[in-house]
Amino acid sequence: MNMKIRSVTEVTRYIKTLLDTDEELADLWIEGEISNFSKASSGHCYFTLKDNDCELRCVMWRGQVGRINWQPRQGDWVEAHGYVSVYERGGAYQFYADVIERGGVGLRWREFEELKERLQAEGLFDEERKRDLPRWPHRIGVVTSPTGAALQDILNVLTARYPLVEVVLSPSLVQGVQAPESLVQALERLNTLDDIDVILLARGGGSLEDLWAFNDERVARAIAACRVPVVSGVGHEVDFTIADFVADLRAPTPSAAAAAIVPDRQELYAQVLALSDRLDASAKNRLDDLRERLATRTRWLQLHDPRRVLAEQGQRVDDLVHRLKTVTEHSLLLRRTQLAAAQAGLQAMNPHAVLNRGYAAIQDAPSGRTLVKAEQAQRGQQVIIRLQDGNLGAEVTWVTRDGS
Amino acid sequence: MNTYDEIETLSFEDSYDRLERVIQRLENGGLSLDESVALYEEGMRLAQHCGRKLDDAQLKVFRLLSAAADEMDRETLPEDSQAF
Repeated sequence: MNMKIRSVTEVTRYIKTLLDTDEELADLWIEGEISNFSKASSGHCYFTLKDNDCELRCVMWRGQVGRINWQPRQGDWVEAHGYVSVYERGGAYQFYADVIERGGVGLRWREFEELKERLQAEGLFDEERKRDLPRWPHRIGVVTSPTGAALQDILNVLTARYPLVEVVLSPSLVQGVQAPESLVQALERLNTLDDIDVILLARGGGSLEDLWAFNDERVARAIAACRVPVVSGVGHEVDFTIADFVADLRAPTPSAAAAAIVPDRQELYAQVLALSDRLDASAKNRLDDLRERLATRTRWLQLHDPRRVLAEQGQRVDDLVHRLKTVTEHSLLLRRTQLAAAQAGLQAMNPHAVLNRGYAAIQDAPSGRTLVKAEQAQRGQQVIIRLQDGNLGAEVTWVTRDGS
Repeated sequence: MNTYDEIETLSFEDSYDRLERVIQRLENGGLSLDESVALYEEGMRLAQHCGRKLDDAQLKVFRLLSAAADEMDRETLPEDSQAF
């Protein structure tokens, strides 16, 4: 800094920036003794952490305070997690705590991180290891406290969603020193059964210490050794334990774990209804298809009905007959006309008509042959002279021919 | 083809899976009228059976009794058990 004159605010802000951007101070655990713990009417807590040489002012906001389930007292040795920053108005640097645990937990936290790294390196958390849950679970093995709320939540969810399933409870302690061994035994007992197809490991919400059993290495290995998929539902949404990492599926709560394992009855109803609709539609389509094919064939049959063909042909025959008759009648008429004409002509040539006009026909008496030419007659021939109303007998006395 | 009695013994999921198969066969087509009708009836019975299974189901809860890992005794807990 050069010798410029600065304001209090500038200097304060400068210090604040220095502290806020420091990585070490952004996320750390501090252990120390509690002194002057007080809760303001706002709900925020103010206290001091100290050791033999130094003191550190601390604040815990109201929202975080709710997560402590014990009362820190003067002189308590604690471990707190949080960050360091500057309270500008008061000109002080402060430690803003979000977690306060009774002393000793810090060590456990380190052990937790070590275990987590070690198991991760062994591959126990690998995605490839994680098994799929069965589509239709029949029997669920549940490892939890028989008296806790978690079990009741689980049973309520299962009853509502999928009561077709069966539950086998393998009871266990879920907190305290003996909990890890108890959990291991409960898991191993389920592992010997061959009709369980998924395991639910559950515990209701609690403090970090309450959930600590689920960070135990023995529990993690027991989970990994299970023959069937393991679903963990431990604590609240924000809690992640080693058990959660090893499990095949982690759920935020016991209820969520139960819901993840079974299908929902309501959805299944809807799916069965949808399948019924598809069944109806398929059957209807099939019937419509068959009906259509029948109709096509029926129409073809109707078109090719022999009786109809006969009828049509009969009509054609009638038609032809009619035409034939017409033509024949015309023809007859023509013939009759011609005949009448011929008859008239013939009539005109009737020899009797000639006789009526005074002409006579001469016939040779013995043969009856009519004499047409003079050379057919000779003197002395007996002839018959036919008049219109009678005959005369005569003898030819002389014959002459014209032209001679 | 399954008789009515055989469908009654099916679990929910077997019934559900069979219903899906019946529908697929119908949708694939090519079946005679008799086959189509028979399949449709089977499908309706399967759907009804699924519905009944969902309706009638009651959650059964067992509790492992023994502390020893190799014993598999179970006791059945009634739904309204106060043991919890």
